[in-house]
Amino acid sequence: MNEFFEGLKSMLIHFKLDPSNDQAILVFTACCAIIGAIAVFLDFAIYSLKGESLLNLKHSEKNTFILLLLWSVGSLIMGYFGQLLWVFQPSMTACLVVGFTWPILATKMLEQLKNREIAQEPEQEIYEGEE
Amino acid sequence: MKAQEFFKSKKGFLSREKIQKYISNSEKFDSSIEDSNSAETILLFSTSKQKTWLIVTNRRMYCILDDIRKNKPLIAWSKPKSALTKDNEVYLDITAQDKTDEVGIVNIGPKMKNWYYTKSLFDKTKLSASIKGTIRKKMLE
Repeated sequence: MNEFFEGLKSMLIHFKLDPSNDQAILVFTACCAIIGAIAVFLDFAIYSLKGESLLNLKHSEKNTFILLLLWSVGSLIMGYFGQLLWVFQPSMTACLVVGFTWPILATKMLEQLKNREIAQEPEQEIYEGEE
Repeated sequence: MKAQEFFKSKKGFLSREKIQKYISNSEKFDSSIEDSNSAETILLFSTSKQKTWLIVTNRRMYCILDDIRKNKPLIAWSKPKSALTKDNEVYLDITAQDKTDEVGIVNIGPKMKNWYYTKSLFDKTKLSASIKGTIRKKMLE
Protein backbone atom coordinates (compact mmCIF):
# COMPACT_ATOMS: atom_id res chain seq x y z
CA MET A 1 0.00 0.00 0.00
CA ASN A 2 2.90 2.33 0.76
CA GLU A 3 4.27 1.85 -2.70
CA PHE A 4 0.92 2.81 -4.17
CA PHE A 5 0.72 6.08 -2.25
CA GLU A 6 4.36 6.81 -2.90
CA GLY A 7 3.79 6.27 -6.59
CA LEU A 8 0.66 8.43 -6.54
CA LYS A 9 2.51 11.22 -4.78
CA SER A 10 5.40 10.97 -7.22
CA MET A 11 3.03 11.10 -10.18
CA LEU A 12 0.82 13.96 -9.00
CA ILE A 13 3.52 16.16 -7.52
CA HIS A 14 6.67 15.30 -9.45
CA PHE A 15 4.93 14.16 -12.66
CA LYS A 16 6.91 10.99 -12.83
CA LEU A 17 6.42 7.35 -12.04
CA ASP A 18 9.19 4.94 -11.18
CA PRO A 19 8.76 1.99 -13.58
CA SER A 20 10.18 -0.31 -10.93
CA ASN A 21 7.22 0.51 -8.69
CA ASP A 22 5.21 -2.71 -8.35
CA GLN A 23 2.01 -0.73 -8.19
CA ALA A 24 2.76 1.31 -11.34
CA ILE A 25 -0.33 0.06 -13.17
CA LEU A 26 -2.63 0.83 -10.24
CA VAL A 27 -1.01 4.23 -9.72
CA PHE A 28 -1.52 5.10 -13.37
CA THR A 29 -5.16 4.03 -13.42
CA ALA A 30 -5.82 5.91 -10.18
CA CYS A 31 -4.21 9.03 -11.64
CA CYS A 32 -6.39 8.68 -14.72
CA ALA A 33 -9.45 8.63 -12.46
CA ILE A 34 -8.23 11.69 -10.53
CA ILE A 35 -7.53 13.61 -13.74
CA GLY A 36 -10.92 12.52 -15.04
CA ALA A 37 -12.57 14.02 -11.95
CA ILE A 38 -10.55 17.23 -12.38
CA ALA A 39 -11.63 17.33 -16.04
CA VAL A 40 -15.30 17.21 -15.10
CA PHE A 41 -14.81 19.81 -12.37
CA LEU A 42 -13.05 22.12 -14.82
CA ASP A 43 -15.76 21.52 -17.36
CA PHE A 44 -18.40 22.40 -14.78
CA ALA A 45 -16.52 25.61 -14.00
CA ILE A 46 -16.43 26.53 -17.70
CA TYR A 47 -20.10 25.62 -18.04
CA SER A 48 -21.01 27.79 -15.06
CA LEU A 49 -18.99 30.74 -16.35
CA LYS A 50 -19.61 30.50 -20.07
CA GLY A 51 -22.70 28.32 -20.45
CA GLU A 52 -21.01 25.65 -22.56
CA SER A 53 -19.51 22.28 -21.77
CA LEU A 54 -16.30 21.39 -23.58
CA LEU A 55 -16.82 17.73 -22.76
CA ASN A 56 -20.39 17.84 -24.08
CA LEU A 57 -21.82 17.04 -20.66
CA LYS A 58 -25.21 18.15 -19.39
CA HIS A 59 -24.33 19.78 -16.10
CA SER A 60 -26.87 20.51 -13.42
CA GLU A 61 -27.06 20.43 -9.65
CA LYS A 62 -28.11 16.81 -9.73
CA ASN A 63 -26.10 15.63 -12.67
CA THR A 64 -22.62 16.99 -12.18
CA PHE A 65 -21.73 14.81 -9.22
CA ILE A 66 -22.94 11.70 -11.03
CA LEU A 67 -21.08 12.80 -14.16
CA LEU A 68 -17.95 13.28 -12.09
CA LEU A 69 -18.22 9.75 -10.74
CA LEU A 70 -19.00 8.20 -14.09
CA TRP A 71 -16.31 10.10 -15.94
CA SER A 72 -13.70 9.19 -13.30
CA VAL A 73 -14.63 5.52 -13.43
CA GLY A 74 -14.53 5.64 -17.21
CA SER A 75 -11.05 7.20 -17.09
CA LEU A 76 -9.91 4.56 -14.63
CA ILE A 77 -11.14 1.69 -16.80
CA MET A 78 -9.73 3.17 -20.00
CA GLY A 79 -6.40 3.83 -18.28
CA TYR A 80 -6.27 0.18 -17.27
CA PHE A 81 -7.23 -1.17 -20.69
CA GLY A 82 -4.89 1.27 -22.38
CA GLN A 83 -1.97 -0.28 -20.55
CA LEU A 84 -3.27 -3.77 -21.23
CA LEU A 85 -3.33 -3.03 -24.94
CA TRP A 86 0.00 -1.17 -24.82
CA VAL A 87 -1.64 2.02 -26.06
CA PHE A 88 0.21 4.23 -23.59
CA GLN A 89 3.15 4.19 -21.28
CA PRO A 90 2.34 5.20 -17.69
CA SER A 91 3.02 8.94 -17.57
CA MET A 92 1.31 12.11 -16.46
CA THR A 93 0.77 13.13 -20.08
CA ALA A 94 -1.02 9.87 -20.75
CA CYS A 95 -3.15 10.45 -17.63
CA LEU A 96 -4.16 13.85 -18.98
CA VAL A 97 -5.07 12.38 -22.35
CA VAL A 98 -7.11 9.59 -20.79
CA GLY A 99 -8.70 11.83 -18.19
CA PHE A 100 -9.94 14.38 -20.71
CA THR A 101 -10.63 12.28 -23.80
CA TRP A 102 -11.40 8.71 -22.72
CA PRO A 103 -14.70 8.38 -24.66
CA ILE A 104 -12.83 9.05 -27.90
CA LEU A 105 -10.06 6.69 -26.84
CA ALA A 106 -12.60 3.96 -26.13
CA THR A 107 -13.90 4.11 -29.69
CA LYS A 108 -10.37 4.08 -31.11
CA MET A 109 -9.32 1.15 -28.92
CA LEU A 110 -12.30 -0.94 -29.92
CA GLU A 111 -11.54 -0.16 -33.54
CA GLN A 112 -7.91 -1.17 -33.00
CA LEU A 113 -8.97 -4.45 -31.39
CA LYS A 114 -11.33 -5.19 -34.25
CA ASN A 115 -8.65 -4.39 -36.85
CA ARG A 116 -6.17 -6.63 -35.08
CA GLU A 117 -8.64 -9.47 -35.14
CA ILE A 118 -9.40 -8.89 -38.80
CA ALA A 119 -5.69 -8.74 -39.67
CA GLN A 120 -5.23 -12.20 -38.14
CA GLU A 121 -7.99 -13.78 -40.19
CA PRO A 122 -6.87 -16.40 -42.73
CA GLU A 123 -7.36 -15.59 -46.40
CA GLN A 124 -8.48 -17.99 -49.06
CA GLU A 125 -6.21 -17.80 -52.09
CA ILE A 126 -8.11 -16.39 -54.98
CA TYR A 127 -7.68 -18.28 -58.17
CA GLU A 128 -8.40 -16.98 -61.63
CA GLY A 129 -11.69 -18.84 -61.81
CA GLU A 130 -12.94 -21.82 -63.69
CA GLU A 131 -13.73 -20.02 -66.85
CA MET B 1 -19.43 3.79 -64.87
CA LYS B 2 -22.81 4.64 -63.37
CA ALA B 3 -22.97 7.49 -60.87
CA GLN B 4 -24.13 5.26 -58.04
CA GLU B 5 -21.25 2.86 -58.65
CA PHE B 6 -18.80 5.74 -58.44
CA PHE B 7 -20.08 6.71 -55.01
CA LYS B 8 -20.61 3.18 -53.74
CA SER B 9 -18.21 2.13 -51.02
CA LYS B 10 -16.72 -1.36 -50.69
CA LYS B 11 -19.38 -3.93 -51.61
CA GLY B 12 -20.88 -6.09 -48.89
CA PHE B 13 -21.39 -9.82 -49.16
CA LEU B 14 -24.08 -11.16 -51.43
CA SER B 15 -26.95 -12.84 -49.62
CA ARG B 16 -27.42 -16.59 -49.81
CA GLU B 17 -30.22 -16.09 -52.32
CA LYS B 18 -28.12 -13.88 -54.57
CA ILE B 19 -25.20 -16.27 -54.42
CA GLN B 20 -27.58 -19.06 -55.40
CA LYS B 21 -28.64 -17.12 -58.47
CA TYR B 22 -25.11 -16.04 -59.25
CA ILE B 23 -24.28 -19.46 -60.68
CA SER B 24 -26.25 -18.45 -63.76
CA ASN B 25 -23.23 -16.26 -64.59
CA SER B 26 -21.15 -19.39 -65.08
CA GLU B 27 -20.44 -20.37 -68.69
CA LYS B 28 -21.10 -23.95 -67.67
CA PHE B 29 -24.56 -23.18 -66.30
CA ASP B 30 -27.26 -24.61 -68.51
CA SER B 31 -30.57 -22.93 -67.83
CA SER B 32 -32.42 -25.52 -69.91
CA ILE B 33 -31.62 -28.28 -67.41
CA GLU B 34 -30.57 -26.42 -64.26
CA ASP B 35 -32.59 -24.21 -61.96
CA SER B 36 -30.59 -21.84 -59.74
CA ASN B 37 -33.65 -21.09 -57.61
CA SER B 38 -33.82 -24.65 -56.35
CA ALA B 39 -30.08 -25.09 -55.81
CA GLU B 40 -28.72 -26.00 -52.39
CA THR B 41 -26.10 -23.73 -50.87
CA ILE B 42 -23.46 -24.56 -48.30
CA LEU B 43 -21.50 -21.78 -46.60
CA LEU B 44 -18.08 -23.34 -46.27
CA PHE B 45 -15.87 -20.48 -45.07
CA SER B 46 -16.68 -17.12 -43.53
CA THR B 47 -14.53 -14.22 -42.35
CA SER B 48 -15.08 -10.48 -42.29
CA LYS B 49 -13.64 -10.25 -45.83
CA GLN B 50 -14.39 -13.53 -47.57
CA LYS B 51 -17.07 -16.18 -47.87
CA THR B 52 -16.81 -19.43 -49.78
CA TRP B 53 -20.00 -21.08 -50.96
CA LEU B 54 -20.73 -24.47 -52.49
CA ILE B 55 -23.85 -24.44 -54.63
CA VAL B 56 -25.31 -27.71 -55.84
CA THR B 57 -27.88 -28.03 -58.59
CA ASN B 58 -29.19 -31.22 -60.10
CA ARG B 59 -26.38 -31.08 -62.67
CA ARG B 60 -23.33 -29.31 -61.22
CA MET B 61 -21.61 -28.25 -58.07
CA TYR B 62 -20.19 -24.73 -58.06
CA CYS B 63 -17.72 -23.08 -55.74
CA ILE B 64 -18.04 -19.32 -55.36
CA LEU B 65 -15.63 -17.11 -53.46
CA ASP B 66 -17.26 -13.85 -52.39
CA ASP B 67 -14.62 -11.29 -51.41
CA ILE B 68 -15.93 -7.89 -50.32
CA ARG B 69 -12.79 -6.21 -51.63
CA LYS B 70 -13.58 -7.34 -55.15
CA ASN B 71 -16.26 -5.95 -57.43
CA LYS B 72 -18.01 -9.27 -57.82
CA PRO B 73 -17.84 -12.85 -56.55
CA LEU B 74 -15.61 -15.34 -58.30
CA ILE B 75 -16.88 -18.66 -59.59
CA ALA B 76 -13.77 -20.57 -58.62
CA TRP B 77 -14.73 -23.93 -60.10
CA SER B 78 -17.62 -26.13 -61.02
CA LYS B 79 -17.89 -29.86 -61.54
CA PRO B 80 -20.53 -31.83 -63.44
CA LYS B 81 -22.59 -34.58 -61.95
CA SER B 82 -20.55 -37.16 -63.88
CA ALA B 83 -17.41 -36.13 -61.95
CA LEU B 84 -19.15 -36.32 -58.59
CA THR B 85 -21.32 -39.43 -58.81
CA LYS B 86 -20.97 -42.99 -60.09
CA ASP B 87 -23.43 -45.87 -60.11
CA ASN B 88 -26.00 -43.76 -58.33
CA GLU B 89 -23.64 -43.00 -55.45
CA VAL B 90 -21.65 -39.91 -54.54
CA TYR B 91 -18.18 -40.82 -55.72
CA LEU B 92 -16.02 -38.07 -54.29
CA ASP B 93 -13.16 -38.19 -51.86
CA ILE B 94 -13.52 -35.36 -49.35
CA THR B 95 -10.89 -34.95 -46.66
CA ALA B 96 -10.57 -32.31 -44.00
CA GLN B 97 -7.66 -31.33 -41.80
CA ASP B 98 -6.90 -28.71 -39.21
CA LYS B 99 -5.11 -25.49 -40.00
CA THR B 100 -5.78 -23.13 -37.08
CA ASP B 101 -8.16 -23.08 -34.13
CA GLU B 102 -10.81 -21.40 -36.29
CA VAL B 103 -10.08 -22.75 -39.75
CA GLY B 104 -9.48 -26.09 -41.45
CA ILE B 105 -8.59 -27.19 -44.97
CA VAL B 106 -10.88 -29.33 -47.08
CA ASN B 107 -9.91 -31.17 -50.25
CA ILE B 108 -12.85 -31.97 -52.49
CA GLY B 109 -11.91 -34.60 -55.00
CA PRO B 110 -8.51 -34.86 -56.71
CA LYS B 111 -8.34 -31.30 -58.02
CA MET B 112 -10.23 -28.96 -55.70
CA LYS B 113 -7.68 -28.77 -52.96
CA ASN B 114 -6.76 -26.48 -50.11
CA TRP B 115 -10.08 -24.78 -49.61
CA TYR B 116 -10.57 -23.29 -46.20
CA TYR B 117 -13.59 -24.10 -44.10
CA THR B 118 -14.70 -22.39 -40.90
CA LYS B 119 -14.74 -24.78 -37.98
CA SER B 120 -17.62 -23.03 -36.27
CA LEU B 121 -19.76 -23.90 -39.30
CA PHE B 122 -18.73 -27.55 -39.52
CA ASP B 123 -17.38 -30.28 -37.38
CA LYS B 124 -14.41 -31.83 -39.20
CA THR B 125 -15.96 -35.28 -38.96
CA LYS B 126 -19.27 -34.13 -40.42
CA LEU B 127 -18.05 -31.86 -43.21
CA SER B 128 -17.64 -34.63 -45.76
CA ALA B 129 -21.04 -36.10 -44.92
CA SER B 130 -22.65 -32.70 -45.20
CA ILE B 131 -21.27 -32.02 -48.68
CA LYS B 132 -21.94 -35.54 -49.92
CA GLY B 133 -25.44 -35.45 -48.44
CA THR B 134 -26.23 -32.29 -50.36
CA ILE B 135 -24.89 -33.73 -53.59
CA ARG B 136 -26.93 -36.89 -53.05
CA LYS B 137 -30.06 -34.90 -52.30
CA LYS B 138 -29.81 -32.67 -55.35
CA MET B 139 -28.33 -35.01 -57.94
CA LEU B 140 -29.47 -38.51 -57.08
CA GLU B 141 -32.82 -38.26 -55.35
